[in-house]
Amino acid sequence: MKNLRLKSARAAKDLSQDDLAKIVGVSRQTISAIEKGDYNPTVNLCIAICKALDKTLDQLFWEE
Amino acid sequence: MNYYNLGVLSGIIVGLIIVALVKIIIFKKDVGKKDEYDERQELLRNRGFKYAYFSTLIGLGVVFLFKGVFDFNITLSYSFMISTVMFLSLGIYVVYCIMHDAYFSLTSNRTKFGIMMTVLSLFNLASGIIAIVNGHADIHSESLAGIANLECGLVFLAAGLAMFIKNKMDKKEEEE
Repeated sequence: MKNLRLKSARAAKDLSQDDLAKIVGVSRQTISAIEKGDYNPTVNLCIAICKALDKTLDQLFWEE
Repeated sequence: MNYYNLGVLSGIIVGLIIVALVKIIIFKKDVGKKDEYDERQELLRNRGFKYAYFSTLIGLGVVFLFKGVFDFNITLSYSFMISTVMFLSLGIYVVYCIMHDAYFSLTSNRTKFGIMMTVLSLFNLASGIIAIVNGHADIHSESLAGIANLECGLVFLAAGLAMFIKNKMDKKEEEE
């Protein structure tokens, strides 16, 4: 399932996939895979992404 | 040690020196740097390794079954068949990792890597083709002279093609 909340949170911060990838220390393709729903990140990576985007885990990764 | 073995040994040493020189010339600043991969890349590299490992097992099983267990009249040498299985497995691992963005580390320079792949591919393909033209390469003989170079060159060529295709796919994705 696509993670549109992550994509919109990243866009709201005016960050490209490459920018976010550099902040959290992964490759651009990994961020792309998470947004497309092709890869489920570990909790550590989820936390790093949440910190970079000033969001909580619930806001970005919890499915209603 | 006879002259043939001395020739093979010196060939291996010259090959290693060429690889080291190419790496030092192209990756001047990166020599000694540790490659780092993210968690998704590690996962996919392990998956690629698994596929390559099972390809090797299946390939070797087929070779031993047809040449060792059944008495089929296969004139291809053991050396040729086993080296083919090894290079095929290596190719599977490299191409799988490249197509899943798991071959290059977070710090590696893809352009430089592409140049190195091309140089090594051309060098090995040329050595293989020259050996075939001169009649030194024989798939029925246990000697791998020229054959191993050709197979190695084909693996590098497949890797280069995979890099080219993946690059095009990435550019298309970035435009979208």
